[in-house]
Amino acid sequence: MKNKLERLSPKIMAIPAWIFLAFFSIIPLIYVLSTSLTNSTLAQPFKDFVWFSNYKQAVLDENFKRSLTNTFVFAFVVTTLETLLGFLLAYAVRGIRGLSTILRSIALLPMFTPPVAVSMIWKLIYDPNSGLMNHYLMKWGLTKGLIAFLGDPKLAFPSIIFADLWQWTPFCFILCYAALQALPKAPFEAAEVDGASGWMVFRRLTLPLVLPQVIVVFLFKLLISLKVFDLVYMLTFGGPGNTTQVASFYIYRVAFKQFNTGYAAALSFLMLLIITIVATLVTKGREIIMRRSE
Amino acid sequence: MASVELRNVWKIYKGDVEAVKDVSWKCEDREFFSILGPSGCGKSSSLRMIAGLEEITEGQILFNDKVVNDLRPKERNIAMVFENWALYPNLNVYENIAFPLRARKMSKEVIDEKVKTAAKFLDLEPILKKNARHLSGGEMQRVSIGRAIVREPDVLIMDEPISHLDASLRARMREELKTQVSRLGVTTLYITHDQVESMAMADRIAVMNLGEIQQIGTPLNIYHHPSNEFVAGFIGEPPANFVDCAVIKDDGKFRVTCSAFQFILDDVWTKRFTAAPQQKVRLGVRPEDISISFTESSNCCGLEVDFVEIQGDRTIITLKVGDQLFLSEILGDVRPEIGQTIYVKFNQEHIHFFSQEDGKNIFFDAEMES
Repeated sequence: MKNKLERLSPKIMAIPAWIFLAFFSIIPLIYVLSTSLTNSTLAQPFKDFVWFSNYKQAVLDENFKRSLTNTFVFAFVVTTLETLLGFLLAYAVRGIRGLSTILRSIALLPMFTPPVAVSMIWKLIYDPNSGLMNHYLMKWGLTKGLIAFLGDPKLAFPSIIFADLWQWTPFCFILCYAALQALPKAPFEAAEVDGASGWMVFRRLTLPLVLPQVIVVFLFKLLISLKVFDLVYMLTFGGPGNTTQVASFYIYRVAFKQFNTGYAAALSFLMLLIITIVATLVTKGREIIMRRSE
Repeated sequence: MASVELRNVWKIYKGDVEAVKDVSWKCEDREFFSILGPSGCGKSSSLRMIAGLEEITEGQILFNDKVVNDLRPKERNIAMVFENWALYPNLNVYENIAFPLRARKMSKEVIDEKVKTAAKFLDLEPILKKNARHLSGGEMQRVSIGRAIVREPDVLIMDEPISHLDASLRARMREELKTQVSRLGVTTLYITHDQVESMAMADRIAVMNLGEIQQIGTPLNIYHHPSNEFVAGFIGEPPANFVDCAVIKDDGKFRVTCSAFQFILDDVWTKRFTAAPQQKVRLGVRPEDISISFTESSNCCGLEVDFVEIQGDRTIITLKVGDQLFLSEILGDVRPEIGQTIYVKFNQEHIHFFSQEDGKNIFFDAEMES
């Protein structure tokens, strides 16, 4: 009796996690998958079973391809910049004692601010008539006329990237800082006694030791960036034209502006597949780097 | 090669923690000098100041009679073997040993030659390509020595280099370390809490406690003539026994008495006590300086047996001395009954008398003269 209970108890204890997963991942996934095989609209769920015609449509959809490209360009650019910046910042301040608590608090501020509020602030900053950005650029004599940052097809995307840098670099900074703090002290003292220069210590010790964690930071932020929606929704609404239309925003449009939920579900599922593949590739890359350092 | 000297060195950490208090000593060129003390005695702080990893609060540290206080670690030409070896975990054995040479921007050929020589010397050739993460304790230890000696430092500093190894490996490493270091002929500072290591390897030992130097001397000197109660108790295994006694002059002879026993001092001690009369003292006697007998004879003390521990080649007998316990170490296999009264004699050549107030060895100077 006791044996049976003992054998079962791990499974019993996993039940809450399974319930959680079921409600937040598995059931929605099945729901999306089944919706994607129909011509559902917002008003009529599960209307007309059409097999894979939504997927056929998606593969040929130029708008979707464009928005996917936009998403990946955006995600890789901001993630690379933020990880790099966050790491360099963390490396620069790592040795300063007593700084960590203050810096942590300051760095957490943009993360505590609701994304919509952050977007609102940036919208005000970028405003072509009364925005701070234009004000200072003119005041310092860097530009002559007013610039419509969010209205210019060439500037809209960089403006969103810049706002994202402000919001998310602290996230990367904190994680990189923690990774640097967690490094063992002794090898660095040994390197000091051995007479290594700062650059040599960085190249031969710090970087190889901290790289696996930095790649995890990169992966985290990449997954967050691939879902980017709030900044686009608030700042440009995908425009001008569709220059800043990212995948999540396009899916939102299809679902809630065109009410074509069946097609939107198919797009969402394709997006999930692509993100899974990318995440797997990054993880594999990390494993290769780690094995090389063994 | 270099001598190392500390002059009135203090280390005070934040919050007024005095880790090292007014420490002075000099380690001569090519000497194997050991700093011995319990954890928290300031030995590691001393060594980190010598290495330049820790700032000196006050005082001077000199290499070859030149003050090095303001020199950075890499300018002192020292090498260090760390407590946990502190190998570079992402590099292989070859690169670990080559690291200090690369830091000095030596040419590839020179580095290769030096690393290979060191590897041969330390028997590391078969594992040169192995990653530092995957080494056994003994291998890591040899790699860290290899890394330390490969660039021929002026001073080799070792911080508890073998305390994390298991007992049998530790005994072998003691021997190996001593052989390797004496072959190199380099000034060596060896920090440990293990008196066996210090006794076995060092030319001279500095015993530290609570941030202060207790005694500096050769191993045998310190063992036979401890300057105070701490040194007498810290060095030797099992530890020395102590009991408060009165010394009473009686018919031209001096008699040591405590609640459990009394005995009459020999001529050497009589002379010393005549020169410097004392009444209250603390008697210190090592376990191996107690001899036992089952029959009573003159000037012996009857004590009750509390416990008998058989170790094969020797027997540790615990004796009741009032409400205290005395350990005695008898060579061979002796089996007194527990509760039995046996008769002990102290080897008066090796007993000591300490001050009850400050623990100092009262006749330290007299002991050193004889």
